[in-house]
Amino acid sequence: MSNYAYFLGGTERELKVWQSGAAVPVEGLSDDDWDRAAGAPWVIEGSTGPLAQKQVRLRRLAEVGVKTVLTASTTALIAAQRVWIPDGPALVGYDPLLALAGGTVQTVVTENRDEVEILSRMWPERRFVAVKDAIGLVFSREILPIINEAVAFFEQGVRPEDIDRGVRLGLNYPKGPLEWADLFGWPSVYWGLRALEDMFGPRFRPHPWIRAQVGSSLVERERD
Amino acid sequence: MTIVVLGSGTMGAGIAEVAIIQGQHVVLTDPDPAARQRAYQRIQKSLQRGIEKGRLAEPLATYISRLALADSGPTQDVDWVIEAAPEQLALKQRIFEDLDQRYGESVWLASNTSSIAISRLQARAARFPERIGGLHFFNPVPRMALVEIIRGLDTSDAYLASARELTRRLGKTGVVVPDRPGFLVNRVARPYYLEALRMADEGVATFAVVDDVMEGAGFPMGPFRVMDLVGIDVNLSVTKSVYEQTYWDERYRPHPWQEQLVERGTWGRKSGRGFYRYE
Repeated sequence: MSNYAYFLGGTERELKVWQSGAAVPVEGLSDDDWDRAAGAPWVIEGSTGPLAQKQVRLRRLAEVGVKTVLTASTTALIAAQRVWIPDGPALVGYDPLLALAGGTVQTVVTENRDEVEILSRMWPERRFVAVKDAIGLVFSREILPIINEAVAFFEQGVRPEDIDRGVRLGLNYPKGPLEWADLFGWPSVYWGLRALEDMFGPRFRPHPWIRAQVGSSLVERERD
Repeated sequence: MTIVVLGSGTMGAGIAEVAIIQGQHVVLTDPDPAARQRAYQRIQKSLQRGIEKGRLAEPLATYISRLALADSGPTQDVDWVIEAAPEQLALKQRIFEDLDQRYGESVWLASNTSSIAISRLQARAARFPERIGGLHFFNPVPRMALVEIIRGLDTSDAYLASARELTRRLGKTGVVVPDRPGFLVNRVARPYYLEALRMADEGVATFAVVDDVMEGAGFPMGPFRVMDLVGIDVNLSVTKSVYEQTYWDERYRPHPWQEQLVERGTWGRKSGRGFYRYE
């Protein structure tokens, strides 16, 4: 079992999610601090934004000899990420939005049962289940189009609090769609939908309002 | 306040029950006397259970005194008419054409439709279409807090204000939504089921894993367990309705499994088998 892990590419909130309930220390890693990760057994790479940025991070992690990367794979398949770093560390995919949502059952992409076992020991309060390498995995593919639908109502004049209240009371969802979006950040919603659209077609096209929210500032991840 | 409820099925009886609990007077109507009687017994039984469990404070007779049964509604001293007839466009259009003629301008008319555009009902009301809107209660009415208040093309602001007040008096939370196919709740919920079906079909994850993941994130039931509970046939019907009313927007295209399961009679819990087995 790994005795420590690093997290990079996401927000402070995401770092806290991974620190919560962890049986090993989990420290944040910044983009100018690669040497600290040299030889690390596990690094969690949470980038969901522009893929060029994610490629740079994965290549750097490969260069400093990281052993295994738990990498967000809802916007880029693990198969694709392996192409970026063919001789790099082992890659295990995960759903960053499901992690942020505090899901007790976490989806991962790996063919190695040992990696699932190790993750279960590192985060003993979570259950890790292996699923097929697919954009959106399970949770992101469910929640992002729900948010996309809700935004259409917001744009038509329904108050955000009414949308969230209606969905919570009418469907018993734990949060309203716009509350979920606030939790994830609009850039993550946008990039997640874009990747789903790219893989599965126009039914996932981000609503124009979402596009307007993220604009060109998208290259920057939101900060808590 | 006096409310006429048209239709004594599950939804009509539920609306009537909630209204009399909240101190309103209700005339529950149905052209079928046997249906009226069944609704009366259902309401009485539910009230009795509420009293026994301590949820209701007044004697049964007090609640029942506020309920009247009739084959058609009175036209005098009525504040609201809530239609809860079967979900058929032609039937509801005939009802609203008639209601518009029978009731004066000051009587608010509502449809408890879950899928029919309110604007298509208003189109048959030649006199006062602005006093028509949707009041979409959810099943089971006594337990579900939400009512979607649907604003049709002609619905007035005064109607919406009055509908908000009515839902408040009924102890419900009213949310005003536009007259879009599926309204708010059924529209927003479509991807929950359809993407689950597609990802299971593509082998991304099993039914049980999809359900476990969503439940682990706080959803009370995963999509396959909800479909089995509500009925795969009911879920397909709602999906088809949204799909057709959006002129076949591919976002709402039903999954072939739904039709196949419905044809086979595996409708979920009620038939003992759906995505899961319940024998």
